[in-house]
Amino acid sequence: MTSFRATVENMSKLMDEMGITELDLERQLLLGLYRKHIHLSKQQAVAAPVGFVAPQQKNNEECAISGHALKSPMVGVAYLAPEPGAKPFVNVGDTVHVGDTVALVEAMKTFNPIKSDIDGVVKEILVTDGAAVEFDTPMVVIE
Amino acid sequence: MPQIKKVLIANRGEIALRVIRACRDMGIRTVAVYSTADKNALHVKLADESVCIGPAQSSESYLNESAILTAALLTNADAIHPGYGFLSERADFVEKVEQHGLIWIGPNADMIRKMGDKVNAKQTAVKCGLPVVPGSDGALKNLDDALSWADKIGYPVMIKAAAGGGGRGMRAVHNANELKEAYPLVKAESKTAFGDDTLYMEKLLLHPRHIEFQVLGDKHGNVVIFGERDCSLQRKNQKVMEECPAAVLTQKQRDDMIEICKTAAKKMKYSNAGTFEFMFEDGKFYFLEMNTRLQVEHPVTEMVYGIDLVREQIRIAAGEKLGYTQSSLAPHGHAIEFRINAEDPTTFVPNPGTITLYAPSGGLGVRVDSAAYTGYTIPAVYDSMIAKLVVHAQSRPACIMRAARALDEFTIEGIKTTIPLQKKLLENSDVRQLKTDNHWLEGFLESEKEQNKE
Repeated sequence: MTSFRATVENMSKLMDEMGITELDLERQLLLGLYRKHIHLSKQQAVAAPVGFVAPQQKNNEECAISGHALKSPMVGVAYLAPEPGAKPFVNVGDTVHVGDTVALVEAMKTFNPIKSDIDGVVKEILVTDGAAVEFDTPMVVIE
Repeated sequence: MPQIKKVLIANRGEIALRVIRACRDMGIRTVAVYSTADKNALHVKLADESVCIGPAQSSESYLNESAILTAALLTNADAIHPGYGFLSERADFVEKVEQHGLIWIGPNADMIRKMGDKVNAKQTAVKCGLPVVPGSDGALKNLDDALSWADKIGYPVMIKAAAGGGGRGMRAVHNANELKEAYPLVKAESKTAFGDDTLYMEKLLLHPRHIEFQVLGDKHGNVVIFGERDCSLQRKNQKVMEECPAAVLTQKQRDDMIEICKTAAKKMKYSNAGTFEFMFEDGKFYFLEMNTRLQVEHPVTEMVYGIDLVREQIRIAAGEKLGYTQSSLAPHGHAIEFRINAEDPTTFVPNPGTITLYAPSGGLGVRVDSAAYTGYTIPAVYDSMIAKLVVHAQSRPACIMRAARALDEFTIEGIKTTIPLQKKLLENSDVRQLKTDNHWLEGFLESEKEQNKE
């Protein structure tokens, strides 16, 4: 059980560093190997500075999104405001129209606007400012 | 010396897995990149991290330079391994990788550029002492010039349009009369087809074999050459079966060629892995091209020489020295690789779909490099090669026996594969007795087709 204790201590330290307050830890016996599946709530997961999640965690992450998700068209860094410190493009509850910019994705120093393709209300923002996003990562949910 | 702690693999399928395995053997972390079509691919599952870089279409994903660079930078990878195909021989990309402070696991951009251009490559080959197909030095001035070159080179010869390609603007001629007839025709043809009627002449090889030599060079000027691979069984310029060593060569022919290749690679200051490809006919070698990357058939060399070429590539890229010389290379036995494609074994129509059962062969001397598994759905958008079966034994006859056994064991259900063709080839007496050349397989397939009709 000492290794388990060490794991918990490490996790606790990591959570402090990342400013995470909640963490689900699951252990699975797989071919005699303990694998840690760390579930972070979506907002917290992207707040982690490690960038992308490990593949086995990714499947767990694909929880159902109700509503119309605007996805990242490329690998890059997501920005929710036109410049640091500026007002964000959208907040939850805002009304958006087709063509409104809701976020930016930067790849190779080029900023690519993420525009809404429907009229609706911002239901959820799934990424944080400065988070790494993959191709097809859902960013903003419109309803 | 730069340390490599994390490698991004800019490829998919079996070769991505191959590189991931070498990295894990070395304690190096790995980043897989993938398209949406490869979400369930094995390379994604086996890598430490993975990044989705684009949609199924290669041009938007595996050839998407900016997406791959962004993925490398965001995951803090130190190096990029390109595998083969995709971005592996794009000199511009290599420069971009290095400009971003990343290590490219392969030869440098200059080398890729130099050897990627056919004319340039041939000039470099001549300069470095490699034998090339004899031909006219540059353009043919007129018919008389052509006739005198043909006498010098020896019939049969090929007259080719300098601007030609893809089989157009060229004609084989077997004697002076044919040349007199063909010369004005090809000239007119190339004028209309390419807007340029410059012609040149090359010796026509009638029954060449494809034999290639593996090069490995470090950044300190050390070079070794691994003994040759015979890849004569080809269909539409795609290799089907490869062997190491080429059993048609005498030890002297082999040793001489290794020496010539070593001198050439040293002169070129070649660093990392590469391959000199030759046509071999009547005891003579003719330079074909150089591949400035890891090749599909590299495992046969690994089996015979007991060396991990991908590991060597990574070590070299990190700036390490080879640490061994030509004389310390010890080939052992014989190896054959079979490319198993998801294709109909008679029509070669690609047959993507879901593999309902995947049970690869095993046992001593049997290696399978594949990214397939039971339940895996082969995407229709990529290459149809799904596995490489590599068999090693102490001699060629023993290797053929073991290969027959291994092909027999290999079970893939749910899709059609080329395993039945591979079995047939292995049983063929021409293949067994090395009475084959680069055109043999096409002829064999034609006669099979005729037989099936009857």
